[in-house]
Amino acid sequence: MKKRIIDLVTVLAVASVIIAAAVVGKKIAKKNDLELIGSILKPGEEYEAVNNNKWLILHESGKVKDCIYSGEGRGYNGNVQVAAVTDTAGIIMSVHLLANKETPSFVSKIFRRNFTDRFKGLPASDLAGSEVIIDAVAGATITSNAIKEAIIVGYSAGEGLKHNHSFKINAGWPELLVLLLFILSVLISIKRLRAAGKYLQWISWGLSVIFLGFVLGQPLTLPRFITVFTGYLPDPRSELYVLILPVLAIGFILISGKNNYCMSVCPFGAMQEILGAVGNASEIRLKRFSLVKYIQWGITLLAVIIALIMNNPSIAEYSVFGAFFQLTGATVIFILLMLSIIMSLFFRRPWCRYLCPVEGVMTYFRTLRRAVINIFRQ
Amino acid sequence: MFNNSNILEPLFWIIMGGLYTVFIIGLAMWLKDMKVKMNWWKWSLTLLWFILLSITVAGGFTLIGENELRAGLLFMAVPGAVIIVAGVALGRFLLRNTNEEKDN
Repeated sequence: MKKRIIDLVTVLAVASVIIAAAVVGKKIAKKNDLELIGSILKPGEEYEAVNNNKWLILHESGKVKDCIYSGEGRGYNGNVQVAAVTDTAGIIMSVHLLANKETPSFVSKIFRRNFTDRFKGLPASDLAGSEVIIDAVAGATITSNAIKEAIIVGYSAGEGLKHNHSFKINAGWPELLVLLLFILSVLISIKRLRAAGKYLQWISWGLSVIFLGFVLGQPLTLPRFITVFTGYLPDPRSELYVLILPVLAIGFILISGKNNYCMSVCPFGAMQEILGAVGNASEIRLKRFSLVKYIQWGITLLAVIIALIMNNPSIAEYSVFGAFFQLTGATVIFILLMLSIIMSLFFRRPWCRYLCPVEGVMTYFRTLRRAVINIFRQ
Repeated sequence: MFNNSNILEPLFWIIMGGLYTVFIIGLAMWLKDMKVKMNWWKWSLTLLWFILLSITVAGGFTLIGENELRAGLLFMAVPGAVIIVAGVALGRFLLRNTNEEKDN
């Protein structure tokens, strides 16, 4: 009885705190478009708004010098707002990232590769007409495409052109892979298939590490869950599997109570198992296990609250996935990764057990399921 | 390395050389105590691993010394992790017979 009440109170308290943080974050984040546009003007320049997406840059004499088109594209953690400065003939002169919620290491990758310079000298109308192909930066594809989309949207809306909003879903092997991994995770848990289950488990871990980890580089991370509270969902047209992954992971927990994602699908969990096999890792037995788990969940909740108040999901990113699979991340994350790798050789899944924020999210949904079942039982 | 001293640099390398000698001789004696049968290719693999580890640590600290902290840490973290994993795998491979004997 006591446990039932604790579960219910925990679920409601966490949900209330998260919703409150999301509301506060939305109120703080309202930033004026004009303020953002003003930030890219040179001293002495003035601007005049034509519509919500187009501004004219004026000489001191009042003559039109250049144009600014501002638009939004769908990034990984939220919309990416971009301004493209063109001359009066519509040739792009510069591209500016006005606001974004992307993981900082991915944005710095975009700048390091001078991605925005690839648009210079191109007629904005050709870009909007899809006549020009701009290669995305490898390892930051979603952010690259979001910048391109933002320029096209900004130009099209600014000039009153019709932008092609066709809703064509591009499903392919990544979606099939995610489904296959979840099917394998179910087969592995069937007791009758225990003998074959061991081999299936290794096949599943291998596929997850190679394809979900190294090739696609998009495992479940904490920002992916937070984006839902900031009112943003990934675009199903381009990255359907990014949407399928959290839905299936949470769906399995809510239906069966089993955390299939962490056990079989997560590429870093799989990598820890592989490392554990290399080093013959043993189970960790801590005297104060529950205390350490509360610290892990507490850090996750704190990261969620801070990200929501700041209205930027990427702030909550402290997992080592990017550092391991794409060699992208802050120095401290690489140190954390190094420690996790070494620990994984001797102890089973140290990252999952004591640090992973996704495990905290999964535990929340498991508690939610338990609380709901208990209410109906009563 | 020691710009203001003529004696510290040679002294440093003498100590490093001494430590390397002690490590290799110590390793050979430890493997003998553990009754691990070593041959030429097992020694080659072990020394290759040790050289790679040394290069990684030396390279990482050289970069840190050149005020490239992030590059230095990354240099030690990425290849360093691979080398440590390889070292554990090599250690388990070399000691596999001794563990089997203990089990029997």
